[in-house]
Amino acid sequence: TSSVVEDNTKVELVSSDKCFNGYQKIYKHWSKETKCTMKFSIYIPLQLHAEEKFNAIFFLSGVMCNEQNFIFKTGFQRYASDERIIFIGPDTSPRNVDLPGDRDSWVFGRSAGWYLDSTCEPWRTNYRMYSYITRELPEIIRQNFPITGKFGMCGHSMGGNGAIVCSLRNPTLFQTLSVLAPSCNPTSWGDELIYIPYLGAENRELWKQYDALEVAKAYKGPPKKILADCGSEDEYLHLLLPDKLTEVALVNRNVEVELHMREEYNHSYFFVASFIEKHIKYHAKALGTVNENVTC
Amino acid sequence: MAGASVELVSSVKCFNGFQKVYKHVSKELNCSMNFSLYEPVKANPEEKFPVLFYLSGLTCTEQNFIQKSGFQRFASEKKLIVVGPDTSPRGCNLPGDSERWDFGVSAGCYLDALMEPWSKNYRMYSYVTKELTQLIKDNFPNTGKFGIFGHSMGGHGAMVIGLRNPDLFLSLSAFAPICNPTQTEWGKDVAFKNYLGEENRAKWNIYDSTEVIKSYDGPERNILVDQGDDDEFLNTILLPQNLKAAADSNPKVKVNLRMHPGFNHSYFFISTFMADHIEHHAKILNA
Repeated sequence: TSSVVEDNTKVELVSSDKCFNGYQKIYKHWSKETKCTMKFSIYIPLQLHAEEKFNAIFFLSGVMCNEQNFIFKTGFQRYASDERIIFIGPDTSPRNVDLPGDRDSWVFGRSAGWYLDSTCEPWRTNYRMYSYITRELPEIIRQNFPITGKFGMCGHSMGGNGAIVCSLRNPTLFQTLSVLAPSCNPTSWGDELIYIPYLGAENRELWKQYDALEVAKAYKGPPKKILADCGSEDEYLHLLLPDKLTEVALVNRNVEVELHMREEYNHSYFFVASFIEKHIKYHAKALGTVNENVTC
Repeated sequence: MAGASVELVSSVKCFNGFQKVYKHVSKELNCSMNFSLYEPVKANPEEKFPVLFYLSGLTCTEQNFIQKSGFQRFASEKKLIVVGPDTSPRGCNLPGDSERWDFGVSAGCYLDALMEPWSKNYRMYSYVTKELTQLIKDNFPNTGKFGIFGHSMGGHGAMVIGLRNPDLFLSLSAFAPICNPTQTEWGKDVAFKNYLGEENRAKWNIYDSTEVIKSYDGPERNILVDQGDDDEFLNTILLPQNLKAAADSNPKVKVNLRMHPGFNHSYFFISTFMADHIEHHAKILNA
């Protein structure tokens, strides 16, 4: 059996603001994966009765974000309230962990954890965002909040790559998947900036496990759909490469990709705000039709 | 085309329109100012839109409203231009202008200051009512129908400006407004005292919407006011009950004051009721 400290899923309320017919809350907790205090946002609709439970969506944010951006800049709460769905917004990297070089690049280190488990020094102790998102945080949510156990995943930019990776590698845990302006193939441009420092130059096979395109190519699980929206004027389109994702779907029958390119929209939260309603409705409907995930 | 010019700073598509930010050199404020402007996509090249002005609260710039309020969806649906000025002159570096969050920079109070060193730059009342409205008329596809709303200090500003210029602003609403600043410690000891001066007490009431309502004799006004009952500033600075009492005694002014259990002063509150306010303005401005 594990010690009390190892299995500690205690959370502490930081703030709670009424928003539509629910509460936008922020919690903090000690993370055993990232070995630091982490914050996450959670939007919880008002329970109609004490036993009511909700389906839950994880929203993974992009580089330079923390747990604040999503809750202020997308207007998602209106739709989460209407659809009566919980929304969880984790941070994008460990916090208050000072490591040399962690602020040298806006795509690496602080606020750019890339939802992977690092294997290299000095990152490997704290930069374990993959395990944080797929193992620790779902358990914390289960222990503390009124959920059905059905999870979906949504992400923007770096969070789009993270959402696809986390969901395809854990298909019965994160049952529905959608992305906005997703980074689809970061290993094609991020070798020096991201993968070599986090995972090492000698381990390119490991890189593929954290690349949406590579994970989708190799995916052999139950049929999975990826709903994707991307702006046609997105300033990072040449790095996001959403068309590559649609190509995978042509050769891997287990993956369906519905990609919409949206005229004149860019990479910003103004774009996310314009399409988040559609994504929330998609998850709400799709989660309503899947069976509950049976976990211990 | 006559009139002052504006320079586009940014333009980003949002719903069925563009969220823009402009800058210009302000004659009233003697400095460069930014303002946001949301412009719906035109159905045809001749199309013109009513214009809604939104005044922000203490500590804000022209950025907070466009990022945090979620208004664009409704401005897009109702086809309204929405203009969001800044909350004070910028870059003036006056002594004492950055010492308090509730006075000076980001706290212009939408009045024309009478006291030194504020009187040359802190003219936000004239900026909004004279300069910005003219700038919009001259540079953007507008129908000439304007409305005004705001939050907190901006709610105060919207009501004062809307009540004193009823032919210019046809529709009026507010989120958690500062309703009776001359009765608050903040107004008496900080904002009005420093901007307007103790010796000019007689001129304070024209910047207090409760007082303006008491002597209001213009066309009938219908003001929507939303207020959270869990608002940390409710009893110290906001005082909506005073506004309601003044309106109840004046048949020309109707105040629909809606108190909302559990809501506080934040943008989470504003975003929850934004749709209702846009609807309120659209009904009047699109008529």
